[in-house]
Amino acid sequence: MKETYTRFRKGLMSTLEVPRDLALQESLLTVTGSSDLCIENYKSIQFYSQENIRILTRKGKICICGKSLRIQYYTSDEMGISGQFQEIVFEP
Amino acid sequence: MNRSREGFFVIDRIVRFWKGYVRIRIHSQETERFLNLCAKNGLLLYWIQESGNGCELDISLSDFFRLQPICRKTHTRIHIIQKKGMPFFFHRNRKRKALFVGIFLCFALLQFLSTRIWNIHVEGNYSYSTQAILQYLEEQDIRHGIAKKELSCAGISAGIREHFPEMIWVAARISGTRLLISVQENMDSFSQQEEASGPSDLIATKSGEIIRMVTRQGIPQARVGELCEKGQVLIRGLVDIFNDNGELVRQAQVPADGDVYIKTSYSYYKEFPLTYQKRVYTGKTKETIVLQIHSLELQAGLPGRSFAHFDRVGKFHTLKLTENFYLPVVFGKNTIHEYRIVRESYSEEEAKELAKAQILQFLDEIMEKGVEILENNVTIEITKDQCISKGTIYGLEKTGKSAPLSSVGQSTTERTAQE
Repeated sequence: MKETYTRFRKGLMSTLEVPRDLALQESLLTVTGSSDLCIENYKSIQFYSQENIRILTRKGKICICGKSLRIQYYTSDEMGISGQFQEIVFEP
Repeated sequence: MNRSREGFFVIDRIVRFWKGYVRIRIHSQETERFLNLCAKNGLLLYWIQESGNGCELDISLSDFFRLQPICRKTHTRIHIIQKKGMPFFFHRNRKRKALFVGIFLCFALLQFLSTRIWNIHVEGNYSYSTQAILQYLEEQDIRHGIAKKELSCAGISAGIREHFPEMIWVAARISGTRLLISVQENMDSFSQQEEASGPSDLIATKSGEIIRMVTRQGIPQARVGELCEKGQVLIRGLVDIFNDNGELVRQAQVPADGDVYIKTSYSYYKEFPLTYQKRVYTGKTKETIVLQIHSLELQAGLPGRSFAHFDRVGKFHTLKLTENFYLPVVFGKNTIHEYRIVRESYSEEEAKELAKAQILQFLDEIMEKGVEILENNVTIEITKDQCISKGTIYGLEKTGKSAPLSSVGQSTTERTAQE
């Protein structure tokens, strides 16, 4: 039943051409090169260190690993991260 | 998207600096909770960086005072590391009265200077130079530095149009501290020769033999082949009107007009010695830097006093603030080239070539005056120590200028218009 509802919702949003980040509350990541990242649609920071940042989203966690990671700005809607990224992992 | 975000950052940074912000270090067991609570409460955090057992971040001054409940909730201690921005700058320098007076004077000066014209730009002019137009404006007391409120653009346009009749359209406008003058000249204009409006004679301006003569209006008083003297009437502006019986009815006064070509002669004599002094440059040069303020001239460097003979080549620049606003400050450098004088003599061939070049130069000069060269009898003669060029050059040139009618003329019955 839940799968049917999810499929129906996805189909409806696709037909209406509503952006996925708004419709399905997906996180939006904009990566520039390997040193600049902008994230929208998240809940909170779960862990922060210079090598690892774990961000809690509605659909899971996003783990950013790298070196000299800094948060350029942090608001409830958007955050910018800079540093040398090595990997971005999406955890369920 | 990124570019707009960068633009936002620049503006945001300026606003943050203006409002003031602090860099703080937080010590907490729940750093992430502190950050999340700040975000949820609408506090904007910048440049969060891990540091030792805590975290450093920037926060605006107004948000800083809202941190207390969050700190209490998360058991966080805060240390201010740095205070940045205008409020702290003013607070730090509150005893420096001169600084604030200087800032105030700076803005006042900027405000004052913005009420004046600092650049006069002229465009669209071809036959009249920009300097000529600027000189006219200066005569009207419109110069660099004049107050904008004293200017009347319509008056300037009208004045320029009146002073320069060739300009068919002039527009003046003020843009910031610039006075922009756009002009349009009458490109189809031609120099109209002033025609004699009243009756007049045509008289010879030079003596010579008449070679060709075409009369358009008036009675010719000389014939082809005759010699005419300077000032002699060539075409008379008094025309006899006869009736069918050949009787003189009346005399009509007309402006005499026609083309009269006469053969004139030019005597040519030029000599120069065969020995001459030649400058041989030694290759030694010296440079001096020159600064001139009004009539005061300052020179740095070694002048060429140690050279017996030298040439001085100067390269100078006038300091200017804007396009046409020149300051009375000239700077540049003088380069002094040493030379020695060597006595040399022309060979016969060289002397003849030089003499020929001089003759050709003379011929060019008289041809520029509209003289057509008919005959060139100049001979080059080389004596023991001189080269002498002499002879006569015959040319064909147009003569004749309008003069008031002479009261007593030649009897009109002797020559008629048909002749």
